Amino acid sequence: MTESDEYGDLSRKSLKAKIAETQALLVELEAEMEKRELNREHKAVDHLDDYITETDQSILSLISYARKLIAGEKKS
Amino acid sequence: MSNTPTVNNNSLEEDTSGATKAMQWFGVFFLIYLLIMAVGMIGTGFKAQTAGRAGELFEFATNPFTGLLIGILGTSLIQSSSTVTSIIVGLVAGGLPVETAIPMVMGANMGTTITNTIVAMGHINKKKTFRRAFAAATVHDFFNLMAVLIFLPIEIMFGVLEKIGGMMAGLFIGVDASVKDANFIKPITKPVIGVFQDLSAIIYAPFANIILIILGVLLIFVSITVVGKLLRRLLVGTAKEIMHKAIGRGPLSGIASGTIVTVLVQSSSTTTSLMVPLAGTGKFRLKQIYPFTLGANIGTTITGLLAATAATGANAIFALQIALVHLSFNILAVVVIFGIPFLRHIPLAGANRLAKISADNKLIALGYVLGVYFGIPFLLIWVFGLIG
Repeated sequence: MTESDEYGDLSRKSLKAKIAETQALLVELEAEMEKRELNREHKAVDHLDDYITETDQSILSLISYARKLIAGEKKS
Repeated sequence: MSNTPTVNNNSLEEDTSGATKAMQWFGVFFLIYLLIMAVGMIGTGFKAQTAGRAGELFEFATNPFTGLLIGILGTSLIQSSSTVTSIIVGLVAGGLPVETAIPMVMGANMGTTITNTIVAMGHINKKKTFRRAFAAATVHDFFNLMAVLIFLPIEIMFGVLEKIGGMMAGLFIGVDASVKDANFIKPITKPVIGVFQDLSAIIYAPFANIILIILGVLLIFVSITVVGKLLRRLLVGTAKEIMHKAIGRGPLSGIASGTIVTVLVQSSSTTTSLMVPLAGTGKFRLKQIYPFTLGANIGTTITGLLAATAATGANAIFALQIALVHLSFNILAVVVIFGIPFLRHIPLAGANRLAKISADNKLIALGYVLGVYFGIPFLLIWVFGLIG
């Protein structure tokens, strides 16, 4: 196991402090990630109307998808 | 804690004047009245046609697996579990045994997932989007399948759901079925049902009862379809607010919001289908869609309960019973499957696996839809029919 030169000179106390600092940073970064995810979800819900027409699908849509799929498979 | 941005109200709502909205709401209540009346028509026609022999007529469906498959197939074709369960409630009001109806109701639960699966198929040209969308759609399938695998055998052996439904129905309607005292539905539906009875007799008297049933089925289908579209337009803003409140608050909140939104729009297909593009575009993860989907399962049972208010007479309690069986089945399925950690993850794992395979070979997705919703039910109904 090789020792890292960067941290090799740190005292035990300093190393512990660095760990605590990194863990705090990790918590902050995860919170930021979660905040962005939640904002993205809220934005998506705001645009729910855009998806409503997409949900008007019937069995006839299935037939057209099947045709496209089979045509695509034949080409390839 | 989530930062709730300002809710953009539905642009459809903003553009609609007060008078138009009032008309739309009037339309909603009128269509609900039509639904209730149509259920009454089915009950009346069925009762008259079968003359107390409903059990014999549906003997082919006493095999619970046949009943289940009829529910799946019928709902897949009509694409509305609300329509099918309302019809079933009407038939029970007309004398169909509750025991025979329960597997059909379970089948209706399964068949309704075809709509969101078709919506997912719309993304078939974009592999990553399709994979996410298909997983979001099929998690519902896997959940409902698990619910049937767990509860149908229990129901066959012990009749638990029938007993729970019966007990709950008994709280609302006395054993003596003295419904006349409390029933305000009958006076407003019976006269109109009478008009349709006369109309059916005019069309072709020997088949008047069957014509009445068919008219009832058509009216149910039309009223549920149109009321769903109206409510979507009227309440999409409210639905958004509910969903905003649920974001970031965990699965129970997701289930509750799925239930409420589905009650509002009167359609589980609409709410679960809305989740598909949200998942497909990566805005929501499958784990977040899942509880909302379960809530939709619960919320959709409201239509059956509404339909049960149409039933009068001695069978009113049974109509209410089957509607409450539908409710209890869905609640218990959520409690058991979602409540038990090792069961909870199975629908997610199944959906992810199927989506991965289907994204790599899209013919599998097509085969899945055609096979599960039509091919297998047709084939098995035929086989059971041969076996007798």
